[in-house]
Amino acid sequence: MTAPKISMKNLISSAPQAQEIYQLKAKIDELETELKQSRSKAAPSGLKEELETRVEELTRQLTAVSGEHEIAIALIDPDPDQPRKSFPQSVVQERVESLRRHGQQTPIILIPRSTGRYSLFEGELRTRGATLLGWEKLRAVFLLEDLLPSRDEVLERQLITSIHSSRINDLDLAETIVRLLAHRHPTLEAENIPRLLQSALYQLERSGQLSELEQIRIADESTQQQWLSDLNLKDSDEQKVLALLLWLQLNPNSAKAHVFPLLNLPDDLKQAIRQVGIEPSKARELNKLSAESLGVTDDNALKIRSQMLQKVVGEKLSLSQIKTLVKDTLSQPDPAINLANQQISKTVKRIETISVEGLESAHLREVRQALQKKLKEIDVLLRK
Amino acid sequence: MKKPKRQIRLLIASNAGGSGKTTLAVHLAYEVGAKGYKTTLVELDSNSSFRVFLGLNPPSDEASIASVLRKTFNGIYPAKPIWQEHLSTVTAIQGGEPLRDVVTEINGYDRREYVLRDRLEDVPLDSDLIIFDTPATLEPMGLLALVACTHILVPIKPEFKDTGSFDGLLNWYYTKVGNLRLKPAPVLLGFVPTRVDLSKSTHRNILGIDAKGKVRTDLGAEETLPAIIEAMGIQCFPIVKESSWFLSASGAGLPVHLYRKGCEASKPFRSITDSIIKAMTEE
Repeated sequence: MTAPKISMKNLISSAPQAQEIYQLKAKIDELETELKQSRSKAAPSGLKEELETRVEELTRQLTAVSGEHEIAIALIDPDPDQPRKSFPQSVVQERVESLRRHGQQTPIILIPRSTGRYSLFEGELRTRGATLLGWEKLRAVFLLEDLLPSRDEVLERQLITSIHSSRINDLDLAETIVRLLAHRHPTLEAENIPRLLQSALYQLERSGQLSELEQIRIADESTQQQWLSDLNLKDSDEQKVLALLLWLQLNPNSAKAHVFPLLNLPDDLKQAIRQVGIEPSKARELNKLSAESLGVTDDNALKIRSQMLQKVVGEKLSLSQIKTLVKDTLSQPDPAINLANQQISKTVKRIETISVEGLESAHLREVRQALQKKLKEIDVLLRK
Repeated sequence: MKKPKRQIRLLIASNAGGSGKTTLAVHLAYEVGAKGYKTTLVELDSNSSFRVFLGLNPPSDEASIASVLRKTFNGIYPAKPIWQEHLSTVTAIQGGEPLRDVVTEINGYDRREYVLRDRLEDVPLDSDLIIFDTPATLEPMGLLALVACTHILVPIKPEFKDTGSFDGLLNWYYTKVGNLRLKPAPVLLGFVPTRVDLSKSTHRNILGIDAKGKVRTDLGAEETLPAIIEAMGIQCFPIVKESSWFLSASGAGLPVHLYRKGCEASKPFRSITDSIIKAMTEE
């Protein structure tokens, strides 16, 4: 690879964008206040028109920053701060007619939320009208409240440094990739990302291009982009996932095999990776000790894994030793559970064999009191 | 002398080491002070560069800005007069070692980023100009100063690494001002190319000037630092050349103006001083 040419433009790359976003946000704040004022009382018509022009201007700028997207109306929540609660039938009907005749003229403005849903910032009438018409989607631009591209850049930069100095573990890597993708493409749904990657790789396998990945991974950016656009993937979202991984110089195939599966680990094992520092491969092995495969409750599975984890850490077990151990555990019933079972059957037997005849009434009362107390505890547990 | 209309609190910020922050702070304090305006230098750095630059002893806990940031602040700023033989308008508050301990304390405050501003608003410091000198790490002290300041001045050594840091600094500024909702936002007074060595081609190329300091025409607008900065609407002040007089003067605890009268090295600060006084005195 040739050494990159140092240009001033490259060195000062994030500041102009940060400035633009800051100025845009200031403008949005101002506008938001005015919009609220104008909605809460009958605004003079001149002001209304001026506001409309400014909303248009804002929409245009937001389109330039984050692009235009088609969003399912079902995912849009109304703005809770919208002071205007009543929308006269006639006004909505008018909008329905105009939408039917002319279609959607300008995009609505949405705020993407971390839940994957969107809050409506501007476009209540259009949204109501479209719902009445039975439309499923609306064109929208995003007001990036907490998802500032500048933040992204910081995140990306941090991530790249971490990957290259191998400081980041695969679990954090997986979560960060998901976050980055969500930031870059707010319409992507986080839980779909592993599936999108899988599907993309499947298509590569069928077209015999899987082996090209390793070379493309280390190619320069324009080669990567060319290669990606030549792929002809079924779904443009798949391409987005591949593009980010390659941009980070990660092999999508090994990301699929080693990185993304970690997202499905239970919390105790994620914690073990993060806090105890056990290797992700070992955590995945321990994950085979699931409640399902052990045939026990979740709580018990957790207990078994935590005992095993202590052993793994304490005795510094190798991956192959862990594999054997896991296999043994799965084939044998757990001793801890056996012990508990034994205790219980003993107790039951003892209770059954207590001879109460001939006891003094004071003693009888004492036994009754103890048993009633226990019964209450049991009832409470059973009711849960 | 025009009457000051408002207090200016100037943050000298740079996230690159050795960019001449303290040199800039000291010389601006002298020039503004020499015009008759009350000026206070505040050192938010635990490395005590003021000790050398101003010829002071290491500060005790009570004599450090740390005592102001503590919850036990008694309302009296430990500002010491400096260069007393020459003028009576300039004072300094040192940072030094005591700042190290106070950092952890501040972390537990409810309004940690606002603590310096709160102090200066609750108990105003009787100065027309306060200059904050910060370390090259922007947080936490730079953040305290960002919240407290009205204006920011950024010295930058014209080298690639420093240019990259400068980008990071601007990014930090816009992000923090937005996130902390600083209204009105501190004004970016401008940036100052410092420690410029015209015999170095890197310095000339980055600044787009020739060996005599004249603007070159062979470079495109997007290829020089001043052009990119000015395109963002930020002012670029005249260059401050590297000079051994700065070293010698700092060793004597003086600005070059006092160390060697009429010295060439004392001249480039004037337009910055004018900008500060303008901000201080005009509507």
